[in-house]
Amino acid sequence: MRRFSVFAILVISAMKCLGQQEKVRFAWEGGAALDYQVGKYWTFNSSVWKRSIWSTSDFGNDKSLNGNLAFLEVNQFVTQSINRTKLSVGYKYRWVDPRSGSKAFEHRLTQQMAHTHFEDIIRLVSRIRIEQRIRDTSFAHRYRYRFSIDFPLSGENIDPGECYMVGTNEILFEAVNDEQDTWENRSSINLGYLISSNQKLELSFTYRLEDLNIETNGILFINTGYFISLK
Amino acid sequence: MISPSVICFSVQESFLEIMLTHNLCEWTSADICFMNKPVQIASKVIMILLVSGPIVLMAQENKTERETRIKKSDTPLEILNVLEPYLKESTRIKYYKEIDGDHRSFEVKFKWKSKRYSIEFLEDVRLEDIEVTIPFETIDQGSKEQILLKLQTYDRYKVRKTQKQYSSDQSSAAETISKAMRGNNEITIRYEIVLDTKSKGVWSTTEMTFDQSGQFLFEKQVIKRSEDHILY
Repeated sequence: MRRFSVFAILVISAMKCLGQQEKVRFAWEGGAALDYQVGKYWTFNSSVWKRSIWSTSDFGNDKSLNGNLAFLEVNQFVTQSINRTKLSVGYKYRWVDPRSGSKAFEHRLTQQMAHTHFEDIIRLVSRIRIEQRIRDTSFAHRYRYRFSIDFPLSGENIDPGECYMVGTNEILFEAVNDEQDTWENRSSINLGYLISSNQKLELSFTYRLEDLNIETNGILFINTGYFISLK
Repeated sequence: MISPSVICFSVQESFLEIMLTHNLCEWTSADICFMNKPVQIASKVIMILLVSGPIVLMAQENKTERETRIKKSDTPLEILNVLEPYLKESTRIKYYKEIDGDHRSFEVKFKWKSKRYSIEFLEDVRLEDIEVTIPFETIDQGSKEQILLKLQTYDRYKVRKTQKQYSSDQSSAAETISKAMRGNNEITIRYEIVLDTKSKGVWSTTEMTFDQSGQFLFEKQVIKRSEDHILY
């Protein structure tokens, strides 16, 4: 209960900060993912996500909140486990700004390694990810390191009907052709609910500090997801 | 039971309706139709998965063990009384209630004199067992050799956690606990070892139980916590 209160306080604080700003701007990502095993060695993860950017109007006293669909994407990952180390490769396709009829797209290739340092009631995990982002207008190399901690909110295990919490921090370096390299930091706090042993819902809040080395911009992401595991 | 997929789609539908009715977004019905086009196939697949998923998954549900943290005041007084001499000198005291099918029990976990203890009582407050976490290397030499013989049948292994388990004997709960806390080996002892094992190229996590002399008794697979939220 005490751990859940910490989450609630952080969420309320984030919402208050957002409400105090003259111009409210946040992103909402929603989607679903399916995790499944093929053979003894391979785990697959398929997901569909969308992102919409929400902001208050800039015109006069009109303070209405407007949402714009930024993209729709499909992801496919394949992972091999070597005890506590997981090696994955992935592919992502994004339809950028599909509402406008734009032909903009993005392909993304991912190679990653995740390692569990410690696993008891709490679990500590590091993830190193390398990405090649191919857009219709640019090509970028991205290097990311994320540290995660997760733990149950009740007891020592996560049983159906119980909640869990995940906290992460990620540093991202991006090198784009003909543009200045950029650094980014992403911190998130995530509340999960295990519906049954194979299904869960997650609500998370991520704060991104973009372009740390140029002119830093902050944006809040609210993520909601539904996850199914067939393993 | 209401399927979670039905809830998800109802929420989505209501959300879009509110957005349009209250003019909270610039989308028009035509926009919504357009947005649906690229994901039409994907949506259908997800819909089938969401609708059929819970049915299939509910059929697979067979693990009934559930451990819930409870308050000290919800723990029977008899248990608190028998543990009182140790709890007043302990840290990290936690109280749990465990339900495993028809088996219901109370469990108290604490750290006493730098060691982690877990003492389990049946619902009628009879003592069930006492577990203390120990380093694998401290197991008696003879028993350890026997245990290693079993572990060496795997391609590779890594010990994650070792617990010495004292079972309740004929004496009173207070007496049995006292013997166990003193490390008295006169009462029945078992070793519970959680380890990662590699066999035929596949790693898995297993909990193995050995008797006092290190003879293998039984094992069970440890159901690992889901990893997708920390991987992707």
